[in-house]
Amino acid sequence: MPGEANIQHQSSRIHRELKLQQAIATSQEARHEPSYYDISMLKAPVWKWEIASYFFLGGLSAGTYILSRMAERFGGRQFEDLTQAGSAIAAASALACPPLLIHDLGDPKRFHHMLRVWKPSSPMNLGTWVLTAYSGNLMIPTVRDLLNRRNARTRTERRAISLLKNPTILAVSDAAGIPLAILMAGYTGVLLSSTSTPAWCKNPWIGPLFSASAIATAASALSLVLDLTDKRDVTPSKSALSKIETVAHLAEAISLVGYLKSAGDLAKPLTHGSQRPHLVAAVTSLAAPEVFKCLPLKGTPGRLSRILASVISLLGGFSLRWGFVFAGHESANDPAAARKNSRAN
Amino acid sequence: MTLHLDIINNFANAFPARHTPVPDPSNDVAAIMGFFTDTTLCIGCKACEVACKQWNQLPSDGNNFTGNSYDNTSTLSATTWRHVAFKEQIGETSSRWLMLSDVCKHCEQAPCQMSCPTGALVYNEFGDVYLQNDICNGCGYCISACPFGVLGRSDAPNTDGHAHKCTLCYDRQSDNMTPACAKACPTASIQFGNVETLREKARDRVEQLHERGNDKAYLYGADSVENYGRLNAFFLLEDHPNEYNLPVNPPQPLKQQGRRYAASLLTGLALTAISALVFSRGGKRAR
Repeated sequence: MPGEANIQHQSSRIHRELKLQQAIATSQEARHEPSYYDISMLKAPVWKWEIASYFFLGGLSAGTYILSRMAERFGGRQFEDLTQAGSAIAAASALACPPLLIHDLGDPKRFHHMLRVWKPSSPMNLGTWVLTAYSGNLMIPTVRDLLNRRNARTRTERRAISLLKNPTILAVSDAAGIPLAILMAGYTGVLLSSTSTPAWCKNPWIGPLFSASAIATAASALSLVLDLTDKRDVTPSKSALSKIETVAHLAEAISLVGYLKSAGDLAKPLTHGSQRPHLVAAVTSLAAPEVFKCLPLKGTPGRLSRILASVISLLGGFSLRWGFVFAGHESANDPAAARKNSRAN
Repeated sequence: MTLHLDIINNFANAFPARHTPVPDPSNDVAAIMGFFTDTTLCIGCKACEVACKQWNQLPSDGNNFTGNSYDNTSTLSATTWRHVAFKEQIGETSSRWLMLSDVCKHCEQAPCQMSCPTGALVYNEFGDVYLQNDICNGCGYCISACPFGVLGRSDAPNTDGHAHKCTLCYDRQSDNMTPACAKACPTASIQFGNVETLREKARDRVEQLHERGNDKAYLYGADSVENYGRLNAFFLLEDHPNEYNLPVNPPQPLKQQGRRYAASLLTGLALTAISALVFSRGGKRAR
């Protein structure tokens, strides 16, 4: 018995010594890389759920606007359901954007402060102007569609409709609105890449990724609305949206791979860190809807599978923005990532 | 009548220039003021930290014990504009202490200034980066843009929620006074003056140290590094910049935005064009 206790004692002592040696080795290894007590040299971003939600809704609004305008201009009457749903979704999601930004800033006055200067060198300033101009312009198709749906009663209403249906006004509005919407969909990615936060810093793929995701989530949101309101399996709008969604998912997948390759270790918060579930959700949302499209389902099961696919795609688009915003927090707080980023440039 | 003439005569005074003339580093470097922080002279007394807090009426950061040598402040923040870093280097034969009084670098091409969406961050007439508190909207872009982690936002209850950083004692400079930290420094580790003169002085100091056998001494930020411009608050260091928590080669993320915009807009444009094509073909088939 005493012998056994002795062996146990000895083995635990050896174990402890091993642990100590390991600790010394790791601390010596750590000393090879110069650092200041492993405190990050960067400050974490202050952007939270409001900004992640704004990135998603701003993209969704821009995407639905683009699709609804393109459908009306190049498609014609059989896409009227899509055009109407598109301007409604675009207006509803654009309406949510300023309150989110104001909540993030804490005071309506502070939103106005961004409009006191024109400073396109700051993506945030440019973005605020784009959001303002885009939302203003969005009023034209939205108000027209709203008035179209009800019979014009008063003289003012009739005059407003005839003004909004004026092809010249609509052409000017589209000519300004489409570039603004494309900027609106993508500037958020450029904003993130114009920071020193390692996971975002100078990465050229975040803009394309957010642009593609804006179109993909817009196509999914429109399909969702059309599937909820229209029981038919095949309509011109539904088949067009399905094709556009596939192309946008493909562009998104390419941009995501591009991002992960060019960020390398700096994408750690997304690939191995706290935001991994969001990356998994985003990747799933690219693949799953395309798999659903291959299933030979018709009638109610087909409709349900399409609805499910649209919901997955939308949730994935939200997860993508959420994951990217919060990956920035983890990445800026990671001293090794901050050091690596400051050497790679 | 005389009154009217006065107005006409003093027309220029009735509408003063909106902008303070800002010196351009490429030709009026004589007007630019800055700091030279010589870490070989720093004794870690923290007089600069205290003087800065007192003059700028910055609140306490609380009583934290980090266990990192004598540094219980850790980083610069919204309420700490001078921070004395203490790095203990314990070797087998000899040990030493590195000390550095860290501060906003007042970059010649400051990412915070470029990123600021409200124009709150400006260059003042001394060529330094100054944050106008009444215009700051607390968006936090500068905090993420700064590659040195200088800026912080005051988020505590009953604070303004704005970003804050070193002003290079703009108020004292306007009255021809030395900034509080440099005034309080007992060993001239922090020197204030015209940045061009300071760079000359600093180069002489490095030569002097090399002659005395300290061949590790070098200047950090006195000259531009790759795509990052010079720092108007630069340092003399004796070890790897990361030992002082300074970046080796700070990123300049606000430059070359054009390429990133182009990539993003081209993706958006391509998808818009594809959707137009899909709709026009779908339309034709139905017709």
